[in-house]
Amino acid sequence: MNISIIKFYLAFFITCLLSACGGGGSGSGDNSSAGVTFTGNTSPAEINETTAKDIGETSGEAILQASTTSSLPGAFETVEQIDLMPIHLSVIETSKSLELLPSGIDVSAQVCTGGGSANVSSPSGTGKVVQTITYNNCTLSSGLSNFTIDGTVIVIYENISNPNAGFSLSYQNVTVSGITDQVVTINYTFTCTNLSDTSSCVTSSVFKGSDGNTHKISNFEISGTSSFGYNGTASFSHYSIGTVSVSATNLTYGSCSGSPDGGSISFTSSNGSSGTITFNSNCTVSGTWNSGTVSGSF
Amino acid sequence: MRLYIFTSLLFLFSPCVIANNYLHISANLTNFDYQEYLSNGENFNKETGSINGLSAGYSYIANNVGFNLKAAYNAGNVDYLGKTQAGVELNTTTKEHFTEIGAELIWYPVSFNLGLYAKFQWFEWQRNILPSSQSIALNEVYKWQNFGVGFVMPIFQYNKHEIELQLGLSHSTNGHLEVNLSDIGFGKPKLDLGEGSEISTSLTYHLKLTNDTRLSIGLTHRQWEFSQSNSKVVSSNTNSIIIREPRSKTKTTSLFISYRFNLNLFSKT
Repeated sequence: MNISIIKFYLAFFITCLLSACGGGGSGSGDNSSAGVTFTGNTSPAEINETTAKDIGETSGEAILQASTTSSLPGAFETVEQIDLMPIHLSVIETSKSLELLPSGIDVSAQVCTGGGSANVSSPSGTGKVVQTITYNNCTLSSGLSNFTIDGTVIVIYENISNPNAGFSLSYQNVTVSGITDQVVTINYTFTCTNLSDTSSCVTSSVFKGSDGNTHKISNFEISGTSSFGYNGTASFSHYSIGTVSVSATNLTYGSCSGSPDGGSISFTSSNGSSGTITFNSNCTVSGTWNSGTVSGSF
Repeated sequence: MRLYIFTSLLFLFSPCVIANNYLHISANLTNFDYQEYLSNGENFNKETGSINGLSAGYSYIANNVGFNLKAAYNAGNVDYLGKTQAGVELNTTTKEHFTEIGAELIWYPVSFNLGLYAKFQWFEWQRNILPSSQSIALNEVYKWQNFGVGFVMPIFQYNKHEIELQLGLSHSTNGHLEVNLSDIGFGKPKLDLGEGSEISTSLTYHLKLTNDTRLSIGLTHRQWEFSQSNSKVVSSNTNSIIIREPRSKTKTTSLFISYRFNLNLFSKT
């Protein structure tokens, strides 16, 4: 055998070995729901023959959205949970002081006391008001601290005339510097049921479901793991059907993409209708519903 | 100086030089011991167990200079002992995959009784912490490069028998870590590993089977450290946290068997 042929096979062998060893690492991307705003139905859901299955299935996807880092193994160090309340308070303060100003006005001087600019779009009127504040490297003061905010925040007042009505802050790729030693990107919705009481505020997750619609889960207390089951309660708002309270029991994930492959959810609406759904390992579901007057199963 | 290097290379690779081409194949049993430490010095987590593997290499030796290429792969399940992010005691299993590619230039200044080498190595470590009743899965991928120097010298020689000692030091650079937090909405943040260094030593018994083949059995110990990584803010739909990779120390001890044969053997037939 010729030595050059040997060298060729040697190079081929090593190349194969190297390429075989370099694999691994699955490629699921980042959560694409960042920046999605919930504009769907928040009224109590009517749970009946046509809606029960949809609510059950999408609430199953929602529970996974509310999972936290607490069940992760300690292989990296969580240095700190960032307290974003000073930012929320500053935005609320800004919004309240600007609510009577005409739409489209440059409010840089009033808001960005440390530099930068801001613009507010606030349709006048009573009742539900949607206000858009656009910050452009705007430096705000909150107590003793200053921080710089860049991006758009949508403030929704349920009833701008009523100080006890709810409101929400929706951050869409908003960056904040100065609150830690690094830039923080905020992409979520902060909801308060009482405008004058920040203790009524909860963080919610707005996400795009497998049905293509945008849904919301909020006020959640979820514990457990995806393998051994999540348990807990939450408030779930289906884009078109409305809001229900959900209670999850041993929800497991892994075999059915973002949907559960085990466990069950019971859901109730404040109008008295209710339902249950059971998730099976072959990605099928079954359940029951009770509209208050009629009941059935699917 | 440039002329000297050029002339040396020309001489090294010229057809009139007596050169040998070797192929090595090797199997190893490796004990893996990895530990992470918090900034206050407390143990954060520990992984221990066996990650056994295979390697293959090619050597070109001409006069008093040699060039080695090596590729190695080790894998195995090891015990994880640590805590969850919530602070709950956690005992689970980690699936480890190590890939190493290296190139080494060795020079025998006087005789084959002392060889001085410089080497470059590229590493990838896939650390897959498996789910348990208290935790979800977590995948991390570490990548880094080593630049090192060292020496090899026979400490015993008799007929077909030889015992060789190797000692080396390396500096680790360009280290990165990707933490897969996609399942909980935090994406795949990348952290920069801190400064690192490695020390390695081996003791190898060579048995010359024929003029062109050799069997070797040896013991290798390697130990490397990385200082704390940078910290990074990661955000999900519901939360923002700052994460970092703690300081770590890794020790591996391997028992290996290797077979080397001279590729020139084929050209003689």
